[in-house]
Amino acid sequence: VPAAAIDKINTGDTAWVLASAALVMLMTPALGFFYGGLVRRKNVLSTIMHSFFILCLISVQWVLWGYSLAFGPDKFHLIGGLEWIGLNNVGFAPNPDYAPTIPHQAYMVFQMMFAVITPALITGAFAERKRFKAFVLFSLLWATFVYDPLAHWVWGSGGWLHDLGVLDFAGGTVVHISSGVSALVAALVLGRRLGFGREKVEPHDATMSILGACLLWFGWFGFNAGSAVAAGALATSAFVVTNTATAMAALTWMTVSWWHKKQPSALGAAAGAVAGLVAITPASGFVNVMGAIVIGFGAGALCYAAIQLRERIKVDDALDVWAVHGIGGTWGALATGLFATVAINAGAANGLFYGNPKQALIQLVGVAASWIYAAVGTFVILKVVNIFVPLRVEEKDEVLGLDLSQHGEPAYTSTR
Amino acid sequence: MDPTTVLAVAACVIVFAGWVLLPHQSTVSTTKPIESLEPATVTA
Repeated sequence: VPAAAIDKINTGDTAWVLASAALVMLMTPALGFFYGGLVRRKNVLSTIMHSFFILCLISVQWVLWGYSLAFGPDKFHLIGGLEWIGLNNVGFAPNPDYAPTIPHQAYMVFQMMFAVITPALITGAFAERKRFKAFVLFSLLWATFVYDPLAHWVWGSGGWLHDLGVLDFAGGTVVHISSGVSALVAALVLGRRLGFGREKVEPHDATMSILGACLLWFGWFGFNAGSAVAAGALATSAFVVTNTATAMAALTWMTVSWWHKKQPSALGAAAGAVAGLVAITPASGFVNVMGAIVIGFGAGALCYAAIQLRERIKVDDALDVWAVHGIGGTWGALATGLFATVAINAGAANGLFYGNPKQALIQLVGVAASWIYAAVGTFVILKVVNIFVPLRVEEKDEVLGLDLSQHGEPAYTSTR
Repeated sequence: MDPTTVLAVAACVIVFAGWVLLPHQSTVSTTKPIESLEPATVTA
């Protein structure tokens, strides 16, 4: 590494971003446990395996071609070029376009963990019925043809939404709208689980889910505060608003469920926390703590309402990925256009409430583009995969459970 | 107060008031408490 490049590296920033990458890595197995507790005991291992497998798959995909497509030299404002394939030209000298004070590979590995968790989020929609082989093909194609281009649009140097001025600090559009909308499409294409609406399907281990949600909360500090790509005031602000919005959303969801179902739900509080984490994600580098409270309140109420709507229209998005990530991400991205203030981030823009209504419109364009691209891309990929491998397991395998039918292993050996 | 703060305070009032005003309905348990269960008999 040339000495001039070494001089630009800040050790504190580098330490924080590498630690944040590790925090975000933890979120994917945490998601596996959050989802794993919500399914029936015959499908818990397959549900956790979805997240674990994607951690491995995208870790390899990202260094081979994913990072280059998402962050490589811009082509037509739509996609990164192949110049950085296999991490060619991605070394230890900082890249001033993305993170001027840390090694380029530190930024690459931090972004890798975002690329990992995004397709893992979708797995909650098709839990308990998707064929493992179809899931493998879908995840690889989705990461390449949906996530990577969308990440370039919003975060890549030269991406069209980036140049338009869309504010997305840590992934409201790229991560949460894309996964949430794709989850809705996947649930519609795969169809409902056997017995949906007739049999009561209850979480087999609420404690596992709540522990998973707590680990997600912990990892999310890396997700949001790490997105400052520096250890300083902006990271601190992102950390504080992340915690505030999450807590407010959990309190709101619990209160709404108390009003609606006469009792405060523990699982509901955990789901509310996740909704708050989702909603504050795009806004975390742009809003103050009062904005975070409003965003958390909106997330708790809107995501809860979205679940009621999803149940009413009888869509079997098994673990409510669309309601929490699709709607939470949409609310967060739009709320960024309302509550962003340059008092927090001088390099960004004010929102509607701080005298800049144009930012709200720009955010709306970003949201609409993400919804449309994710929906169309996911539909096409599912149809293509279905030509080669049936998307669903056979009925007898679904009845037996995916742990035994897909992996040949029970999660629990005891029958008690 | 700026509009964001007004909205934040209103949100907190709504949520906090909910805990005071909402009735709590206990569920009648249909399962035996674990303390009352007999230990399983283990046979060789």
